[in-house]
Amino acid sequence: MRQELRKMDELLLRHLRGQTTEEESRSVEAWRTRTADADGVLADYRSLIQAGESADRAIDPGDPPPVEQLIWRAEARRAQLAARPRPARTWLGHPGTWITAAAAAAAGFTLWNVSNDTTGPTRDGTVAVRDFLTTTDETAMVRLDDGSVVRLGPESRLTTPATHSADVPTRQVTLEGEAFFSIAEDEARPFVVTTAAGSVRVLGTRFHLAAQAGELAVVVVEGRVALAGRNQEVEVGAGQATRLVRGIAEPVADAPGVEEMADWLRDFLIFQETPLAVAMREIGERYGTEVEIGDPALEERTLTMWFNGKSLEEVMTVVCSVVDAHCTIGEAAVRIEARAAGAQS
Amino acid sequence: MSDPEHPTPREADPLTPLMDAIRGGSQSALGQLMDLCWTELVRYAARQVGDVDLARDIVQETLIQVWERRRAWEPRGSARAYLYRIVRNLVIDEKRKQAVRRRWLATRDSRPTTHVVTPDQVLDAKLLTEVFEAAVASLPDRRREVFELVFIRGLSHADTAKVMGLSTQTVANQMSAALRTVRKAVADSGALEG
Repeated sequence: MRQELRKMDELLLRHLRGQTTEEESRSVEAWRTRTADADGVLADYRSLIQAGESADRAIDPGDPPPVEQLIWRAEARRAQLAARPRPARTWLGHPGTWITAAAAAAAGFTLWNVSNDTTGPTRDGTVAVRDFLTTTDETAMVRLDDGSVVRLGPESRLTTPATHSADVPTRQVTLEGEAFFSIAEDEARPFVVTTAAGSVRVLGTRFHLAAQAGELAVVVVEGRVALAGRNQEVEVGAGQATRLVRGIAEPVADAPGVEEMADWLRDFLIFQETPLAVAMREIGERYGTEVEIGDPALEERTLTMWFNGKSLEEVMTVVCSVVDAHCTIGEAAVRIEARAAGAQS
Repeated sequence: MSDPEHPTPREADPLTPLMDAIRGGSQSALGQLMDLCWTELVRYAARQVGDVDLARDIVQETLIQVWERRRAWEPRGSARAYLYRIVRNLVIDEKRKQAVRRRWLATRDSRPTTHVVTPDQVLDAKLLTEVFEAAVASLPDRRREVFELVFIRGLSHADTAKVMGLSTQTVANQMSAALRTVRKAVADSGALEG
């Protein structure tokens, strides 16, 4: 009943709004005849539609502005933008980069690796760095040599040392714009992100940073970070968010969804030594499905992986293979159970 | 394949020819587009940011962007989904800048509707609307947004998927779960009775 209702939902709502074709209306009638509580469902949906319309009518949108005003603003802005310079883009020449970049391009973003066997310190003793730049329509994935992964947002810039040498006490990068960080744990070498508005120190965690002029916003998904502003340091834990505005920290608050803060992340998922229970909760929220883990021992297993634009089935195939569990994907729920001893998939 | 002699209600989309005309540089087409979409887009944005004035600014910016990018628009998908996509991106930018989050229930204007109803019906309708709004506000962010686009704004699952950058199946799953939650919350409150 629930599965059929799920399939019929869109059609029923359109039917109640008088938007169905004759053929679709016949499908609705056929559903009514074979479904026990069809009229009750339709009555409930009709009431909900009325409630939605009533809530909507409470908003007075006012009159639109004259169209000439909008066009004048558009043309004025175009004239301003024409005079604005753009930074040059840096492309990397490591041979392996081009192969992985080609694969990533099909998924809609650029992928770079920062590997140990590339540029080291320069002859004059300064540290060689790498710049990663994105345009307004791009995002990029940067894999650092310590196992950390950075998803760089549009119109952003990430600068990293060519290598994160084990001799250096901290792993340092700088950021302009926004990025989602998934940082490999290394208690001996904290990871520090420096921005114009302040810096962030982390051990192992996943978090989103947006650095604009004078403002640094952080949303922590997992783990803990410390924001360093003007003469103060603020700790932010999992599920929390805060901002540094001109060096002053705002109170730490419950975090909004990361996608709400960073629309460009879309169907991107990343886990870094993330417990299965935490990862599955995120997967369930992302794909709108219930999740059940049948064995408590499985909940402590960890995942380190990322997905971009993959279906629930594709994600679960990889996850279940990695934790060596048996997965069942139903219409409304995903269930993970330990394999019976000796069982084959 | 659609039958041009008998277009379905959804295929009779008045926005696509307007977008074509705008692409050709017609300022009056932009005006007509604004007249057709202004109310629904402002209401959509207002429900996201909880502020009608801010919503008006967002929709003005949307129409400016439609004009600026008119030559890049291609009639491959629904023009309506294209407009909602721009509004949604601007809403997300605003939320990021101003940390406006779910203030709608606390700040919304509860002006009466224009329906002529009896006093009992007024109470029932008000209760139903309040319970409905609370149930919608309690949904997880992504699910709530799917519900707003599909249920309140009447977008198809396919258009909603384009607006939000999701698969159609994910939209269907989120919508089904949202509808179950809202229906149950409203039923449990007794607001559906009578």
